[in-house]
Amino acid sequence: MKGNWYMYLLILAIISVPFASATEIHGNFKETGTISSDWFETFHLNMTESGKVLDVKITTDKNVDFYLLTKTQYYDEFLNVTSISFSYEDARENARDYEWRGNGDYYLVVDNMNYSSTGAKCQGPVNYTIVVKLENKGIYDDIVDNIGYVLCGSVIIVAIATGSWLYKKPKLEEVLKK
Amino acid sequence: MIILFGVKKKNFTYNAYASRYCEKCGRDTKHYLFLQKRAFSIFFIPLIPLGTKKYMVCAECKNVVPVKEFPRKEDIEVVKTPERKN
Repeated sequence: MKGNWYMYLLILAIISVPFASATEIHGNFKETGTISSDWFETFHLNMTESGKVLDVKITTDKNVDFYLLTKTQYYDEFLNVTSISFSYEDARENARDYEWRGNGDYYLVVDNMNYSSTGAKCQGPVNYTIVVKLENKGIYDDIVDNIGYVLCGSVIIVAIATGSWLYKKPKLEEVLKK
Repeated sequence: MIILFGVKKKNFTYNAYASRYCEKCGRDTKHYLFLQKRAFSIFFIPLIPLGTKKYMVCAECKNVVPVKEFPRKEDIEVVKTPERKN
């Protein structure tokens, strides 16, 4: 017993870390619930289908912090409270839309803890409603994603066409009166 | 952000002459054909063609006269010499 003091410390440390139970989200999802004071709710999204758009809307009755994290950010940074690389200040909203493209594991966290010093302060239990929509990419989404490339390509094509016209000397027969 | 824009001009001359009254010289002189193409450019890149303008230039006094149309083929004299540099 006396020699196992470090085991008790380890167990105490594990208990003191908030239990990371995540609600799995597959496809369209809607849930209403309450988050206790100094607690958080996690929603796990496994994005495996390419070409899907994730549209998340969360409404709460009090200010909370929202995070949309990658697997590494969630486990290594949020749960272990190490250095935070993700933005949290900008996510302090009562309602927020996310649009996320790409594959992989994502963790949507509604944080009612005083996790960050600059984020929302816990003001008691929070009622929340989360609506997740997985939508197919629209016809023009690819164009919108690559609007920069499309614009550059268009400008190059137009510039080549105009340059060719500008620098090409017309034949004498073409410019004379018919 | 500074956007540089303007009109880029490209001039073409032809070794083709037509006889025409020059108001500056006060007599009939040879006028050579002069064509100018213009395009709207942004950052010196021509993007929008603005059209073509036709001029006749007096070979004696270099007076430039804008014309709507060049003369007919029958009314011009083509000189078989290397073309003028623009």
